[in-house]
Amino acid sequence: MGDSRAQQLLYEQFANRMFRVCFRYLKEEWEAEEALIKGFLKVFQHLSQFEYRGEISLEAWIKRIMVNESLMFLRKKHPYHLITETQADSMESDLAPDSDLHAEEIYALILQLPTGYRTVFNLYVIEGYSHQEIASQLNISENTSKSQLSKAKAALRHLLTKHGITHEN
Amino acid sequence: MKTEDWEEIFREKINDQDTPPPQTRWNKARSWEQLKAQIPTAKITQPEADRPLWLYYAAASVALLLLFTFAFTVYIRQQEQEISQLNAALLQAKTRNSAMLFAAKNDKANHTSTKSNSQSVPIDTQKPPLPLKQAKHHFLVKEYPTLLRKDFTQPIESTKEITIETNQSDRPIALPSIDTKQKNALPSNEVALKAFLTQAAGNSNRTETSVTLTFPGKEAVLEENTLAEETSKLRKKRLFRMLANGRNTDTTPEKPAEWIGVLPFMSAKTNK
Repeated sequence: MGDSRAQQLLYEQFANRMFRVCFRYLKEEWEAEEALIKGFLKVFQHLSQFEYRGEISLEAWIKRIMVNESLMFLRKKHPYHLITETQADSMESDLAPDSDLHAEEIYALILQLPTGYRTVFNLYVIEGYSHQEIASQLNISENTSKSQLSKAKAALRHLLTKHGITHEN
Repeated sequence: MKTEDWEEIFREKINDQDTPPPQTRWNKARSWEQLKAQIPTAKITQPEADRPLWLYYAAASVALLLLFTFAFTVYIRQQEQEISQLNAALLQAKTRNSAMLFAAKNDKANHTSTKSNSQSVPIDTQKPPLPLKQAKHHFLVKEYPTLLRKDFTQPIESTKEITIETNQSDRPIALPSIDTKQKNALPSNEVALKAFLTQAAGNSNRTETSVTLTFPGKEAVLEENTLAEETSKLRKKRLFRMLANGRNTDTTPEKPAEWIGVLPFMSAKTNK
């Protein structure tokens, strides 16, 4: 067993950020809390395998564990292969998000996306995964991943318009 | 604004937040309590490097010890088998040597008996001894109660004919006993004793076997007795068995008694 005090300090430092990560994927509070607890258990169990590679390496390592735990919850609930592909819309020309847009507003907008769109959007835009990694994680094709991302962006643009965020044409 | 820029802004703003989402009523302390309750049951995986090195050495030593024990046991068993084979070969060689000695004695006795009036023939020249395996079987396995012999304690001066009947069909023919310690019982000169031995073989058939025993005389008996006493017990048994097998190969001779002393110099002829 590890040092209980050290475990608590680690939890106190990263719990809020990691709960936000889990909630961003799962959208259900009890599921996010469950994923958070399981994720921290794995962190404590495999802490000896962590290799320090800089100041943010520990947070990145813990975040990756939390994302994997959240995806495990999602795999049980949502069969990704049933998501149908549609033509992707480009956000380049018509969406220009205001830099003053608050983080909580962005977070809320992301939560409004459908599960499939939200998952791919989170993995690609927020976590920085490639389409190949996303396809491997979700057991879908790369084209499906790209399609889901485009649809997510389109949906997000629609939500921004709905909330009065101006577009740049 | 390019898509990459737009994504970068989203990423930074989302990751910079360090507060619980306002959409939830999540309690950080409550989650910690739940997590803390599950920590003791969670199995902590120790890194391989933390495992003590002596444990590997001990396991390897035990494995080697078991391996050597097994190999040694196999080697010992092979050696035991080889020893038993060598012992058997040694026993055969000893037996063969005894038979050769007996044959030499018989030749000597036969040479003496040709000088007498009787027409005795040494047994081993009439019928060769049994193979060792068969002889050993007869000698070791079968046991018979002592058969009463006719006693010859009176002086024998000339050729005499006696009749001895055995009751069992597989009974070894009993030879007459001659007490060599009583010097009066021995003939002064060479004399032939012809014994008719009847053996029942079923209710109707009866076989009659005669054995002619030739005694070389008192002087020769006394001289040969000295040599005979020096022979080993095993050799005496072998001689007796071969003599008995010469007369009846299907039976096992009973244990030689006092008359065994005359065997080395006695020649016999079996007539059926």
